Amino acid sequence: MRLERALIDLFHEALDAEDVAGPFQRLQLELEKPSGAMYRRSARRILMTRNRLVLLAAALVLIVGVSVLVGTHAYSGLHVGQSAPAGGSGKTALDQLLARPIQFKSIPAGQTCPASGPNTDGLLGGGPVYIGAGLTADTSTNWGHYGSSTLLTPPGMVGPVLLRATDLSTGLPLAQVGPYAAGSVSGNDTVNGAAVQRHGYAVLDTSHPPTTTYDFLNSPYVQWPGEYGWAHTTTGFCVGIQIDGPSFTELIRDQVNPS
Amino acid sequence: MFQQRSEEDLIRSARDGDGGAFADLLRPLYSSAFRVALALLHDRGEAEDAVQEAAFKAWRKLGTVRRGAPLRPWFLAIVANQCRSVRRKSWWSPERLEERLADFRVADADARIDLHQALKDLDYDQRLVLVLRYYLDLPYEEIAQVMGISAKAARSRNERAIRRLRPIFPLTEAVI
Repeated sequence: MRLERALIDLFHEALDAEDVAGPFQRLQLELEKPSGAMYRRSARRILMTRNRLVLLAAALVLIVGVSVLVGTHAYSGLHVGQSAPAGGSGKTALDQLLARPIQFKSIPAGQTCPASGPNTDGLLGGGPVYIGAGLTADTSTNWGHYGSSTLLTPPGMVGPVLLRATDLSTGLPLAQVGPYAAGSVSGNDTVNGAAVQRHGYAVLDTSHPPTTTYDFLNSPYVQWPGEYGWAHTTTGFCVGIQIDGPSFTELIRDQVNPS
Repeated sequence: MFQQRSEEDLIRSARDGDGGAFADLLRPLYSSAFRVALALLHDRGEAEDAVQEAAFKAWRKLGTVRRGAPLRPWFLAIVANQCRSVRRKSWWSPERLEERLADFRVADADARIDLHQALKDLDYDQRLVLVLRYYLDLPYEEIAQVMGISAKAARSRNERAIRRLRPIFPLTEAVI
């Protein structure tokens, strides 16, 4: 029996800490691509597996590099036009953010959540985006719990901001149900009499910010209501929140207590 | 009122091409599938590709799932077959596997267990049965479904794998 116990320990030690949220989200994105028949999508995916993508990326870098050299040489006498703003805008910029992998590692059940410390205003994050600390359930349904937490962005921020929250003990994403929830619908529910749809992530469109502000760091930060959902739990869990913008990635951990 | 989509409803939508519904079906299975693939392939990238490939195969095969049958052994079987196929295709895998296994080396102060030593001599099916049994804690009936064999055969395959491991754990056995 000791050998079998040792095997259990070894497998768990080797595998439990592996992050599964990123791979699942990439799979989810592949599965939920709206256009194309399943078989065509499958065929394309076979051509675009991770290892082949590395080769393709290397080839593209080579082609781009050669093109830049040739172009620089051919047009060396011409002025270069104004460069595009960092991160671009619209769907392309969001696609770039969605392509960034989730950087959190799993935290085995029972292990202490290495929560990010809140600052004096009770906010989490190192900027430019901040989030209210202490996500707790405000209401519950047969499916699970829902809670809210405000996000703050600095005034005048440019480009989309992508927010993805993950239960670090299971590696599964938390549902986004607020006004900025985006992506495909993973479920429906009725919360306090209102129909809600659960999504996989939230996107803040900084070109259309809400008008409510919060004075923070001597600036009127924009307040964005964030609402989350998670399936029933009796133990609480550690949530990892990854916030991606055109020129930054923020990683925030917070303990979610059972309601 | 609250409307949670049942598994049957999700299967029906997925068969109609709803990728979101199929992702919802896989969500509770993904963690186990990915980690089993990682235990078998020892490479995160290959494990991710294998589960992704398996997911698309599973989607195409969704029509073959018997009504009311559990999805986990069915999906794990597809993942296990995909991992087997990946290992067959990778002619370079023996050398590479050794490199990867080195990352899994675990020093246990008491029993001096070395996962590298423990696993390197096992064949694919023996490694699979051990992962299913001692990592996922599956009953032999479910292991049998994943491996496409009888429960009795699954049990004896596990026992054979354990017998092969015993000489690799001399210090462990000494303290029994």
